[in-house]
Amino acid sequence: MKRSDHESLFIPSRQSIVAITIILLKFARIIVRTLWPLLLVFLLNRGGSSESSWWNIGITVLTGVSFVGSIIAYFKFYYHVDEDSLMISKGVIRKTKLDIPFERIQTINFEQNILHQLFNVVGVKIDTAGSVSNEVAIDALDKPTAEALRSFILEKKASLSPENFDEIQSSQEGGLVEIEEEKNILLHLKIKDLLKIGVSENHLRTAVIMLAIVGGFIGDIEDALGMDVFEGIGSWVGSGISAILFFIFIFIPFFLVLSFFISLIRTVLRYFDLKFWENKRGYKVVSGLFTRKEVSILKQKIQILEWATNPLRQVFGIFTLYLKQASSVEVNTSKTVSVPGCYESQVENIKFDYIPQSMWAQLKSFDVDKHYLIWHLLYVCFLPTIAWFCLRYFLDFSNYFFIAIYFMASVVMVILAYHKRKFHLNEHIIQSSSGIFGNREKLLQLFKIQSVSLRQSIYQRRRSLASLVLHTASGNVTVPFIPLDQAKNLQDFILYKAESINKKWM
Amino acid sequence: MIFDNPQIASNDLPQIEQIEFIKLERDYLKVLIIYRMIFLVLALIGLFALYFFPPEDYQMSFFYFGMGAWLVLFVASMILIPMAFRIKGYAQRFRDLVYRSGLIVRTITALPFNRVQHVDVKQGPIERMFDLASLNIYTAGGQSSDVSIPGLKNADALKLKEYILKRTLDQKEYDEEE
Repeated sequence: MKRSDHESLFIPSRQSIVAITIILLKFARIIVRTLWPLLLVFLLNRGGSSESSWWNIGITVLTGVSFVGSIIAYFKFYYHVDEDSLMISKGVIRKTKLDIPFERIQTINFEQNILHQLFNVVGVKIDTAGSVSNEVAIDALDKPTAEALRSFILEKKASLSPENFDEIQSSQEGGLVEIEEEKNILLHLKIKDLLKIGVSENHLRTAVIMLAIVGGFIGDIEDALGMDVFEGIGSWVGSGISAILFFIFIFIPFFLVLSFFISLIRTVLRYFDLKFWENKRGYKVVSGLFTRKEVSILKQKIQILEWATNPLRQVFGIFTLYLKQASSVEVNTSKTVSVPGCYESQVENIKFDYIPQSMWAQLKSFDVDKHYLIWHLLYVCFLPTIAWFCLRYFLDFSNYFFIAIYFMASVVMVILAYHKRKFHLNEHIIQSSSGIFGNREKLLQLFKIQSVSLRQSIYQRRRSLASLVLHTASGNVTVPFIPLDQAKNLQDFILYKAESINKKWM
Repeated sequence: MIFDNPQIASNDLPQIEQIEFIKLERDYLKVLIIYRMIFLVLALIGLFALYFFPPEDYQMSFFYFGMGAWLVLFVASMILIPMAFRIKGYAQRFRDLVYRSGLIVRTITALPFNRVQHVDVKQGPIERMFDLASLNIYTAGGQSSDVSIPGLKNADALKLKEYILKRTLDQKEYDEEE
């Protein structure tokens, strides 16, 4: 593409006029989120005491300020490109000028919430390899402009870095640079799949989180209204046996059912019509009901490919896939893209797409040493139980029932975890398997490590065992409790891979 | 055998096991002990403050308990700090840097130069008195994969920093050429 095609991008311009509404909405959301207890009181007291006129004034002023603020913010926001960077100037009170060199730009993602969709505009999110604030956002651009901007930046970026030479050539011939070309759809979630995902969510965890939130929520309301909610519930429920019955038969089922519906709604909102594409250079995920989110991931940026399932999902045969990528060199924030509802065959497809079939040759599976089990039984099951028992016996703290439950549950979980812990290895890749009730697989190309640690506790030293920790730019993979000489060999070999392979790790 | 590698017999690979680790400067042990002494003296002052100005409904048994704990900590520090110091060591190779530490959990971390993001040299107040410095090497793997080598002579730390930076650059250029 010649410069003339993108002439308009070089002129400082404002966003689409719709941006005013979107900025306003953003303001409103922040205000509501921070001030909602006050707003609640205001609504409940409306027309009541004489104070309410002050509230009216306050709310009016707040609305006015945010309205005017978003208009000014819109008119003060300019963006344009020059030969090698994207310039943004913005700021109502404090003016900021951003100069983002193309080579620092990592990904450009589009986002469409319901307002965006209504006016056919997109929000543009630009991830950079920068310092603290590594995200630049343009609230609303009309779609053709946004696409022109993206393809311009990606093309410039490609031509700036010499190692991408082949790609530019091929892209210039094709006239396209984006991951768009030759898309191959790997996964498309239907309503039926969404139901399965929602149903099989970890409801126990959601219920606990919800209880915590509701607890905080009640606290806020109490502060705002000056009444004691817990006491109210207490006097209503009564005490003793009836309280326990209430807890078991009403409270817990209520929260589980609530959690079920919330997970279902959340799943539909986030993953509605999820599409997962693949092409030569990367993957692309688009999903969401009201807010369509679009994320692109370059294959070479992926550090760890992970897939996991829980007992419920095992019944359905579905996995959640995690693409863990390093977002930038300088910043240690790693970005994970999760794709739920993959069937085993789809996981296989993606696995063999990310790492070509030829690199899977001679993959051998290994168990961890039995001392992994013994160590965990000692330090997770027996020692805490004994300590707890002593507390109970000498200080009359806690009760025997909980101790017994802890002991039995921990023994079962440790044994299950030991049997699931495995790793699979050849000269290119390592895959680690773990889990207690579910299953989690982590797949890593050996050369992608940042550093390798060989660790030996006193317990392991006595038995000539060691654990190997592979540090990557998106988390660690541990190979626990293997014989020392093998751990040493593996460390030497992984180092050799990282030092001799001159492929880029990202 | 955990892996047999058709192309390279694992015995031919450079082995970490055969490296001679370079010990940290002797003075660094003094630095460690001084830091611990400062802490212990402050704790002792606190304990005696309790003894001479006891708050209300205060039991003397607390003081004796505290003194006991202090003594245990003192003895343990004097034994364990030198032991842990002896284990710490580093080695620079052509393509990576290796650091060993840990009295209870012994850890040998190897960090290839072509993964280094940046390197800096830091000096604490006590370290400055002995002209010592610590060298920090950062990767994209975050804290767990970074390496910090304390107790180097300031000049040595700077030299090592130069070496690492030069090797990092060489390595990256070499990677790009191929």
